[in-house]
Amino acid sequence: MLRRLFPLLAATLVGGIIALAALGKVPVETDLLAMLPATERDPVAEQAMAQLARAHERRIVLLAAADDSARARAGAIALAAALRRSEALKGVTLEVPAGALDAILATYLPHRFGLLSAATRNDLTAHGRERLRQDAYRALASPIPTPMAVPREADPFGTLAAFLAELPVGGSGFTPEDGILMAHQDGRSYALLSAETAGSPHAATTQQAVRAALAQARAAVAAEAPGVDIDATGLVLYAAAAQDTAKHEMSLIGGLSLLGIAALLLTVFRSLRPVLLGIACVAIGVAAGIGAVLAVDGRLHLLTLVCGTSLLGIAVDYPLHYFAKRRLAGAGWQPAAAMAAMRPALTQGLLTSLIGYTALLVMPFPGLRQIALFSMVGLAAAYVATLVMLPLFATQPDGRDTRHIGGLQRAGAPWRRLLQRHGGWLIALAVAASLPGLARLHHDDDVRLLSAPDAELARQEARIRQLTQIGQGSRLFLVQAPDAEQLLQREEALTDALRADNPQHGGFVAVSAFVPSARRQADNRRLLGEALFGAERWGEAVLDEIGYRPTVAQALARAFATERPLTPDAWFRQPVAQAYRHLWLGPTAGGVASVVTLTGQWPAEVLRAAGDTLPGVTLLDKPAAVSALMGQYRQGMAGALACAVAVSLVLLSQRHGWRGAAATLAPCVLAVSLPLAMLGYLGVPLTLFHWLALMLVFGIGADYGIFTREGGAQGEAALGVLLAAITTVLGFGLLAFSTTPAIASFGLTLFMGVITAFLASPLAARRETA
Amino acid sequence: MTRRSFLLAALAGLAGVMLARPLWADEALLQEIATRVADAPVLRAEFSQTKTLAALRKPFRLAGRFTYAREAGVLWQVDTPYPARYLIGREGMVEIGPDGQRRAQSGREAAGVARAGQILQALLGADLAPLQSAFVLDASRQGEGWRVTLTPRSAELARHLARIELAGHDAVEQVDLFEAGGDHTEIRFTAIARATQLTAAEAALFAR
Repeated sequence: MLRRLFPLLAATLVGGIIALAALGKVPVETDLLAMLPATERDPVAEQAMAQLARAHERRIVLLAAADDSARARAGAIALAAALRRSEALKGVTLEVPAGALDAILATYLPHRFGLLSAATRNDLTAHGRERLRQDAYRALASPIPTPMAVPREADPFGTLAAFLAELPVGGSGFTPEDGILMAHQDGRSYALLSAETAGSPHAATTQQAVRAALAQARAAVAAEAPGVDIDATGLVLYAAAAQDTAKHEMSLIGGLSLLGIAALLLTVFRSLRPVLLGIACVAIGVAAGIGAVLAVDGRLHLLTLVCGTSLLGIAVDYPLHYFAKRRLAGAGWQPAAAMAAMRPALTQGLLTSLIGYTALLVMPFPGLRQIALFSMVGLAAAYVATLVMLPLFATQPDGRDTRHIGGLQRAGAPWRRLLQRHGGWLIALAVAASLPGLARLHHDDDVRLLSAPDAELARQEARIRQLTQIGQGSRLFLVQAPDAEQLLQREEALTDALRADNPQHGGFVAVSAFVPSARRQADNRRLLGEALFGAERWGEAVLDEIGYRPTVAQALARAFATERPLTPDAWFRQPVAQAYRHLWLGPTAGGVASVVTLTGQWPAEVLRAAGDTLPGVTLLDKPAAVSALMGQYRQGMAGALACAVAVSLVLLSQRHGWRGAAATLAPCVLAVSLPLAMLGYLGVPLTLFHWLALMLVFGIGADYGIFTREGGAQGEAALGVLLAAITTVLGFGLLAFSTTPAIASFGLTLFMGVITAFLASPLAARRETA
Repeated sequence: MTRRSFLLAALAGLAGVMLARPLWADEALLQEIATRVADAPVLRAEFSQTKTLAALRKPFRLAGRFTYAREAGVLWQVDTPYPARYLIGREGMVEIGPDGQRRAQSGREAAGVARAGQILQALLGADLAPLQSAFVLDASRQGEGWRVTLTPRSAELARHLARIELAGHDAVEQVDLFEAGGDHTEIRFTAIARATQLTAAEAALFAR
């Protein structure tokens, strides 16, 4: 009964997944970092990372560039108008709102004596107040423009103007010209725009809509303002490109491998039925894998999908062995008996594969866990499908001529004889040849090696970053303190330390740059007050000397006497603060926390030193943390592989004895070690993904050994192993051509491993059959 | 945009006008000015600047020398009331202290200065599009000489700057900046001299 129901259930599952995929309802995750584990044990740090990611993930930054300012402006205006017509984007910002600068001024003017730039503070402490006299003259005489029109009589010494010039407002290379943020460099003029995606940047629908909107906007600019170049950057564009690449590769690699496998099976079996049933078993496996992942994780990662398509290569092995047996058995073949004879080999093969994946399943690495879950459920489903469905649908013996297959088998006979006679010597030779290669192996866990972002997008992003000084967002400081005031003080200790190192390295964005701590403001007031309004009323004398009216000095003294410090609460109520809200994490378990983001090219050791020495300051370096973690998992994976070999040896010894088990596992051990040696000779640094591939190679190699052991080297098992090897190479080996380095290294390793496993498989055969 | 950046832009523009062959709306007069304002790789002048501001009880006066090098930029040397030197190049502006030490401007200030350098470049190439997009240009005869008035096109600019006036004969001799609030800056150029190359001392300052 259950056996009759299974095909129905399986068909429903496969149909359901196909329908979901067709409707675009399978949520696919494209962000490689989402595959990675939480790197920070500190939940506040994780919150900081997540909050910052949310603040950035929807943003798109655009530049309109031309040889002259007027053309760049016209292009930017046309671009903004076109983008605003699209529903995929919102918050398209080009014009600096009229009065925005006045609003900033109005915020700071009432607190001006507590607000000093780092340069002014340094001048006052190191050189005394004489510099202020020069500054007062300079404010009237210098051809230097100040970015904000601070009324001269309110800031005759230029101290507030200097503070405002130091504010780390976005796009620091840009100044508003006629209400549009513009920059000029190397004879080119640039206008800055920003926008947000209306939907999640990870959703395929958003990605397509944004890309269409951008293409239309570019066309509109080309028509209305020819000669204007548009650069754009944003997570959504990278995600769209990655989605495209993956879809393209999936359909190309998946399609080629499916075609190749179908052609091979048709040639060997001369019948459509094995092909269709083979595809059915694979489809059931893939559908079950997707279903399990969706049920557990809710979304499917792109990498799982790509690695998962290669499940084709393993899952199809099960029906292959069945049909290979039938093809060679001739007229006397019985489906039930054949399946009974095959079942131990199938079961052992599945178990060894599952052992390998179990190790991955327990690792706290979301991406690997998902791949393991997908593969385990998929393989198990394909196994059940093979056991249940094949005897149901392929009942007739195959009595046709097998001569062309015999030829295929005879071609491999000398190699099999060689291996079986001189196996020991050949193994010794292989080990000796591979030792120098193994000795040369080295690792590189840099997470950036794993993805190859679209070159054109990377070029545009580099240009935008260079002009706008936008931070990378992947390296930042987390600052924690018992209360807001101490938090601002700790931020100041950090930014002072960074500034003291070398201002050429870059900048930083911190809330304390917009609203200094009460202590810092009091200190500034003391410094400035002593200089200007001290016993000799020096400030008044200087202003008189320059020629200011006495009312100017009187008004300054009055303002100084009644001034209150700017509080964080007051600052956060200002519209300008909204753009920096995400830096302030607010109350946490241990007090309050904030982040300080970095711009420019800070050397890692400078940042590490600051993070290590200052109280309450932690450097969060996501790429470095992830790379370190990848290294740990790579080592874990190597250990898991060794364990899997040991466990399989014990498991197989129950049936084959110790010597037999060792012979059975010989092909898979060689299949793991020879590609390693090869990678060593090639000088390719090993990554986690090489080890992931070796894990699969182990499962595949063990399968070949088991089937050869169970079926005999000359019989139907050899045909099964040959077909399995070719289909696996078609399924996996093609991944070596992927443009995603992680997938390519996975494919290449599997390719080498599967070939080795196939060539070494006769080693597993029983002596007496030789 | 600030009034002081406009002052800068005007100063930078001025340097160009002293040399360039302008192409303004009144073609005949502009052609005449162009032939009268001869081109030279280096130009030196003395300047005196007078600011008349509501906040000041007496005008603020500033005097010094000015060297314009077509290839390198502008050296603006204040002699009174206190000595100071500013070097304006295409990459931005630095202040040179009495000890020769250089004090660079912060990013956004440098950006404003670099923009003025761009306008300068545009003027030198007789490409007045950057100025014409921001200002209405109006040229007229004044006896033997000429006068050009630049009026901001956008309301945003007009909030700070009422107009700029340039006047001269064979070179720009006077610049007047009228701010929206009534403050007025006047710059006069005297002892205008053309040269083919920088002095060794000037070249050393520009070279750094």
